[in-house]
Amino acid sequence: MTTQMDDRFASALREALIDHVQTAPARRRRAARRLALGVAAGLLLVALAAAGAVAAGIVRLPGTPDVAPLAASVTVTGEGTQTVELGAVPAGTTELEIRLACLTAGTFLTADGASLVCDGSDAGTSEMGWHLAVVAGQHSTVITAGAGERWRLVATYARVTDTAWGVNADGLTFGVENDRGTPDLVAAIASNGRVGYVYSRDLIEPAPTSLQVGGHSEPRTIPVYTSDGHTVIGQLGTAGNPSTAPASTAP
Amino acid sequence: MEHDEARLWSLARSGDALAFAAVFDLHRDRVFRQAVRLLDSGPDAEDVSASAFLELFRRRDDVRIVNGSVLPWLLVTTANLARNATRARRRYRDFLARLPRDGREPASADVAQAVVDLDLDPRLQRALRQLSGEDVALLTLVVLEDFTIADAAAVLGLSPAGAKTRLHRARQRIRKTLPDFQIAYDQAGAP
Repeated sequence: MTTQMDDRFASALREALIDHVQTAPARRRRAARRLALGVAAGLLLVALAAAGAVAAGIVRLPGTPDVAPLAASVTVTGEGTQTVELGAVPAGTTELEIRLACLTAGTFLTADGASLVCDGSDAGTSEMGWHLAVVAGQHSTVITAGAGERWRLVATYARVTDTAWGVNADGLTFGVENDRGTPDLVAAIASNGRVGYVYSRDLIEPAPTSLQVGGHSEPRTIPVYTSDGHTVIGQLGTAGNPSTAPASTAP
Repeated sequence: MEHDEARLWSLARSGDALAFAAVFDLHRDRVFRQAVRLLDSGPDAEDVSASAFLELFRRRDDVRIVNGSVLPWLLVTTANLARNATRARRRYRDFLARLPRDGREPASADVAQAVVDLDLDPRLQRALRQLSGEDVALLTLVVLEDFTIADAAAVLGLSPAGAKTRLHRARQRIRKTLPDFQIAYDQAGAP
């Protein structure tokens, strides 16, 4: 037996947290926000990142952020703490897309404090994708690392814009999650590989009963529909243990 | 997996409630275990766990992400909140009052069993409580939660060398209290 939060308490806390986040006062729009759809651990909701969907030949889904590179990528190999000059910020830039790789062991920090920690075996193989808000007039970014710790940064100015969700005959919105929130029907890939939509309410209820690491999770399936919300085209996933059933992403 | 959590967190910190719930799903039990280690009562551990997730959202723009995960930050925050569970409860009194409490086992038996389940020696549990919030966070992250010293240092804002020194001193303090107690200490290396 292992120690875990009481299921009843955890379910109530989960619902209360959802309510807390949903009712929190809106903050300024974050330029960092661009990913199409999160992966709900334990629910095996499949992510459809914009780039992945395009690469897979899938028609762009409603609400997918449109990411447009506005300048050539800058690739810099550095050591220790360095300021990387990125050139003038193109008009319309909303964020800086970065990929940071460690070339030696060390702790590497981006300008907003996100960190990549590598040991010797990670060197040259471990990489972090991130995105930084672009401040007006700022045309550089800082990577912080210890003396002798080497890294490689690939940075690209980009403009990210949201596209509108679709609305079906029942008046329900469908598409991918974005800065506006969650549509009524959220894009997902069914276990048979077909792309469709699941009701966002199905993703919330019921709360998982066990997500203990190394423990058991109740199997669960969610119907996947076409955008009409009625035609079932497949089923989505089963509840999985986060440690043994990592969420999948689109190819 | 880490990359997926980074995506989730990116959504959650911009106010996506489902993504935040998924982050909760990922880490709720390890946060709860951290609270159990440091507190005497089950309801206290639950309150502190809930408060840690509320703090995660409240301070979402300042959370240190380590290798794409918020877990180290959550564990450190849980350790700090456990230092003053009363204050944590006061801040989130209204929120915590909505959570179910009825029909629960008496707290002391609950936690005693939980500590047994954790395979944590009660003497070590008592000794951990003698340490500062930062030291207990460091020790639990590295010794009990299997994070590397570099990861723990990153989330605590310490240099790896500084973290190693602090860890060594924390271990020495525990040894003073428990001279016969050997803490598994593979990563930290003998000083």
